[in-house]
Amino acid sequence: MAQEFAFDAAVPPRTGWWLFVGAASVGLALMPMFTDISVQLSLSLIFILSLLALSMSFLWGYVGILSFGQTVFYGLGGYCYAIFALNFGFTGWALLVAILLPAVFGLLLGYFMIYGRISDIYLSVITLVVTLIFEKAIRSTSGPEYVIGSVRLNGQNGIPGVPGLQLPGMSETLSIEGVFYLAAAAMVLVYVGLRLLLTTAFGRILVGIRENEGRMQLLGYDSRRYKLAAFVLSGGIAGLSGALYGIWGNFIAPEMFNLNQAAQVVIWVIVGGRSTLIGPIVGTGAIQSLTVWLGASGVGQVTLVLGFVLMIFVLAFREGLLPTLGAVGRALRDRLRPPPAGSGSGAESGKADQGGGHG
Amino acid sequence: MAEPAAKVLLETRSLEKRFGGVIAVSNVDFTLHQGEIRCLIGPNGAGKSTFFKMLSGQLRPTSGSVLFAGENLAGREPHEIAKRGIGIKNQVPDVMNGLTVRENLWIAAHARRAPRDERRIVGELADRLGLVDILDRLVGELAHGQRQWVEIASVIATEPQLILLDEPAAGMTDEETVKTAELIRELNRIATIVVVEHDMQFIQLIARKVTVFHQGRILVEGSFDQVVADPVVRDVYLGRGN
Repeated sequence: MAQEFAFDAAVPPRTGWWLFVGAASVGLALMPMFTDISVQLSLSLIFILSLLALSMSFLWGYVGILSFGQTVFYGLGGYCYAIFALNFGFTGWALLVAILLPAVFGLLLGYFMIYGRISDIYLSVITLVVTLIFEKAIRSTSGPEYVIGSVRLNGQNGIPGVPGLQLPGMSETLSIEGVFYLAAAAMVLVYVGLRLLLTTAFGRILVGIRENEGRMQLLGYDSRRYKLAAFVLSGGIAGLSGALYGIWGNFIAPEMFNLNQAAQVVIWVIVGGRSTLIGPIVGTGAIQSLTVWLGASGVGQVTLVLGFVLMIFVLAFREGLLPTLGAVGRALRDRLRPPPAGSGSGAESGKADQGGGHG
Repeated sequence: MAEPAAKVLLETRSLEKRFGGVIAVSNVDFTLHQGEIRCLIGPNGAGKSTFFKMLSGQLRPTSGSVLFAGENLAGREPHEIAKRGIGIKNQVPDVMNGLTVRENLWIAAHARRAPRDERRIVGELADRLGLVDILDRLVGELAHGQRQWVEIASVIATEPQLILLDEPAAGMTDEETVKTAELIRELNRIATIVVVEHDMQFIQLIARKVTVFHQGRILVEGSFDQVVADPVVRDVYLGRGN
């Protein structure tokens, strides 16, 4: 099973993977029957934030670009949805705009960074700085003069009363259960889409660029074009995440852009394992649950604990939760079922080591 | 009257590369005809690899021009130069270590060919270069010589007109070296080839014409026998070992 989540996943998914996706989808579809509203609300949030984590891990794990400030697209998505939906009322279109506009912003930002040959480390810094600039700018819009259409930006108070999603043919906006289905469907579709993307020529070329960009150029690939395309796609996914957040909470605020939020995405991805796509979803769920639990049980010190968790993972489980579990599973299996003579587990561990060296 | 009809494929004029105050390649006028196998030799630091890197776009020349099939490629991006038909195997195996041999070859074939063709090309190349048994192994796990073969196969898969091979036989066993020489001669039927090598026996196996680099300049150019017999060449390069 762990093989399906393996690092060099440019191979088409196996039947086991499809069964897993199918079972997970059925499980998610049935879940509202067995859970109450509060569970649905917290799971929806995890699914929505998972999209943000996926947008980062796709770029980081498969293309080798760490965009520290993915929250810039997340925040933009949230604000785009809120402003468009409050002004025009067409929430379906607002959702679309909230995906497209961050993607276009990604195109501009990515163009200058990638075609300007900025090194990977500066790219991380620049995306982070850009999201912090957005936070600062939005925070300073509390005056009544900052209006887009009929919507006041409200500075650090954020925009309340963000409308829920009302798709054509529906008489009301989505219920809590409806938002749960929407968030779950978005997460599953984006996960499956990204996984299948990697089996296409485009996906293989991205993986090739992560492995050896210089060689790809010498083979005739304009690596910048592919990296930019990946950056734009990842911006769109983060934008979707931000819009769904607005739909989920009926509220958006400049905190969506802030350092705390940006750093949390990195933690989700590192804890889950950036070399996989399912890992960041698990990482988001685990860390988000831990955060909520720390808050609810009165322990507090959320930032301190999260920092500690991050340290443990960076020092001891560099591959992240899922790849580590996968490696443990394979090791146990090998132990229970001795391999045929001459073939040790060297190949497997070699593969795992490769993952740590990139990105 | 050797090859009177052959066209000039590649020509560099006053090609120069400086790194700060160091002149790595100085004022090189180099002419290569279609269908040649040319060897570049010279001591370490003579500027051979720098010269190759300027031809392939990995380094931007400080001045001068690189005319390939009549078009000046100096300062162009590596991928543009590759698209025009120059392929290079670098000195150190330059491959995608985290991918399998099959994936490496597929990506290379895909760079030039329409979809559906890649699989056939990968099969043919693997067959021809003896990579069939290792197609599904990670390149990073292979021996140095095998990785060289994978890189050469990748370059061939892009179907270049001009192939630059920087030390193709380095780190190979004697048997592999002979095989490499055979492969290069075979490749020469479809492509023009320039080889940087140190191994004189290997050069004797493949080259008709040899260019000697020394201190960033072309020192001598001629047939293998002429070059080996040249007293200046013996002095700066060959003679020291004897």
